[in-house]
Amino acid sequence: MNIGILALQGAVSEHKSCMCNLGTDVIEVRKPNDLNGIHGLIMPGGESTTLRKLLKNSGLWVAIKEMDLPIMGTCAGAILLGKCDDETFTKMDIEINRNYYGRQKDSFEASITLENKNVFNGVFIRAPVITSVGEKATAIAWKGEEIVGCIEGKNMALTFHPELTSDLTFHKMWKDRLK
Amino acid sequence: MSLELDLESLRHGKELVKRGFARMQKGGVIMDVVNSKQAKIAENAGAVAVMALERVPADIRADGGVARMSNPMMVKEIIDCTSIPVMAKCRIGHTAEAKILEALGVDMVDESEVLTPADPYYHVVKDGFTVPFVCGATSLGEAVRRIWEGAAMIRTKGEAGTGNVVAAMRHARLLQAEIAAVQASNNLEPIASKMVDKFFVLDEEAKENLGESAGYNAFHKSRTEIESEILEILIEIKKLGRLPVVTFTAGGIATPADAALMMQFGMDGIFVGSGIFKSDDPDTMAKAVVEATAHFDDPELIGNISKGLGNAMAGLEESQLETKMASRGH
Repeated sequence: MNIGILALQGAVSEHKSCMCNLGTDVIEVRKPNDLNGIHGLIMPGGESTTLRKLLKNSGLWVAIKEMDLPIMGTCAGAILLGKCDDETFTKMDIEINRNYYGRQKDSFEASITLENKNVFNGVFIRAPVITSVGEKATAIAWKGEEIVGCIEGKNMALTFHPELTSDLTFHKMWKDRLK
Repeated sequence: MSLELDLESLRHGKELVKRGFARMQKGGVIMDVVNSKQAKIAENAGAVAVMALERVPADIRADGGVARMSNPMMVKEIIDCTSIPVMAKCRIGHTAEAKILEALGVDMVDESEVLTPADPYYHVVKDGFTVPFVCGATSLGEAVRRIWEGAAMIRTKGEAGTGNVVAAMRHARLLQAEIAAVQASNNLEPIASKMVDKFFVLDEEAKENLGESAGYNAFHKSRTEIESEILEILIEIKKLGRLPVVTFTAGGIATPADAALMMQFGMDGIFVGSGIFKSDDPDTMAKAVVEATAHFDDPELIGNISKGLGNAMAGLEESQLETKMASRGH
């Protein structure tokens, strides 16, 4: 299985090593041609305004929008998957709010609970928040009452950064859906 | 506090969160801006962050005198006008300025040699701060000392305000060669010990004056303790083959090709100081540097975006410089 990682800006190498540790071949995606032959795409955390511009200028915006490609998005990547007051791919039926918790000094680590009650160390960096989950999407991870992760078909949106910890739970969960 | 309560609480300002912030900046361009209008230009061009300061380094160089932290009002104005992260500079060793910037809400503090150093012996002890720090380095020793003090990001010092990439390249080359030496070494203790010497320059002066010393340093730790912690960082560098924190380049980047050169060399991202707003057409230059940084391995694309740029900033030859900012700090 080939997984593409959007390699325009952000935490690219971290996601790459997560997928390599799961025994997956990884391709860095910088232009539309790089999308050929991949089975899924990871959109990493970074600055969403920067990513949006680089995606548009490279022609990747249109290509990704038109393709039915499974996507895992973390933080800025999750913003681009959902719906917010800025332009996104709207591949998932969730509303998401940018920089919800405040500035970097308000960034934090916190325990996240999964459906099976397992606990995951969530790293939230100038993180967005999922404000509502539509009918087509399902919540999969919570910080207290707050929803911090959703799936919809083969797409997954996480407001935190699983690529910054060595726990591969979420990467594996997404990869298993692609089979 | 019970274990259960501790698990529930949010943990702010820990290493993972601070270094993580720096990781999200990778592959991006951080631009110096002096007002909200420039901040908007930077954001619209796709900058991953802006560095708020009163004068760009080229003007600091031209004006001379003592350069200090920017007016908090100006920093606040930029924080309020942009949605991307805002960084600001404090003087080397000026803990009070760093605290003020943290309280203002900047997302990262640059303890910078571009400003006039406040402490000739010590840099800010950074691990007690919630806000992450970026620090300049000209060599591996400097980088390791800053990481030990708590820096979440390292950048080459280069020579700010010159539009001349040669010093940034010198520092990147030396870092790479010294990392290779660490990887080849089977005896890291002497390297760690040599790196720690710079923390005891003040103690050596006392010893020269009095014939005796107390092994004084600013960290309330013994030399043995510091050496063993520095050794741990060296072991990590040996294992990774790179610094354990994000490493940007800064100081003299003036064109999209300069940005591509440093990215090809393995830098994680770019700081552009005077290079944007001292060029003929800052808007176009800013966009071009962002594209060149993301597509550093695509010379055809970089050639195309470099066609309609206008003039880059005027450059300064290294040997003609009155002040070498890179030699500030240790």
